[in-house]
Amino acid sequence: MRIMRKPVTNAVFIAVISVFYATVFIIISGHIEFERMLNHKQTLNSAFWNEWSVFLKEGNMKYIGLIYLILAAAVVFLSLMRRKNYDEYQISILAKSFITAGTVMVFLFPLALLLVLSDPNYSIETIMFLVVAHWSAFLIADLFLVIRWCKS
Amino acid sequence: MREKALLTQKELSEKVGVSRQAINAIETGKFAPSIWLAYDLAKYFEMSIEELFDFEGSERK
Repeated sequence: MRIMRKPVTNAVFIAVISVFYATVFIIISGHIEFERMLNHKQTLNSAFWNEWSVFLKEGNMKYIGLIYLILAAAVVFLSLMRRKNYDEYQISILAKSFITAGTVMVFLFPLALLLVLSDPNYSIETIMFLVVAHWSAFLIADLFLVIRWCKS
Repeated sequence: MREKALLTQKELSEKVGVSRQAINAIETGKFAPSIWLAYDLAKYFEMSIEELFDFEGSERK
């Protein structure tokens, strides 16, 4: 917990994971090998999954990657601007958000397994969607906390 | 106690070195302070921790 007192710890964690995801998303956008892994037959009778599959095929993941970079840059900038360490209340909130993100991730694995087994044709789409939903929620929540605390 | 001392949450937070949100969360019962923060608050108000915090009415965690 002591390491979480320093705002730079949160900033580094957010930056490392966001840069990793952004790099992957930007590289795979429009990449022919990635496109080949996606479903092209639209076998699932679901407008949502078919639209998501088209979204991936059109190479739009790079925009999500860029949004991650912008949000992570904002977290890093606000964290570095802060001169004081987080107090025990702020650490407890941060710890709860990290634990929640970790717990959600634990439940995402069996959910991903279930979704992939129910329709293997959409396995890449499913995994990409879960990754985007999970990290987007965590990144936005973390940015909200950092903005809220930047003056305290 | 804070209001009796004519302090705002911001002023008290600066006296004991925590954020205003921490003071607000303690006052509204959303956050249980550590023993050291409880000690700092009690010391500031010149009373014991037992006098400052209502242990009887609060839930044991």
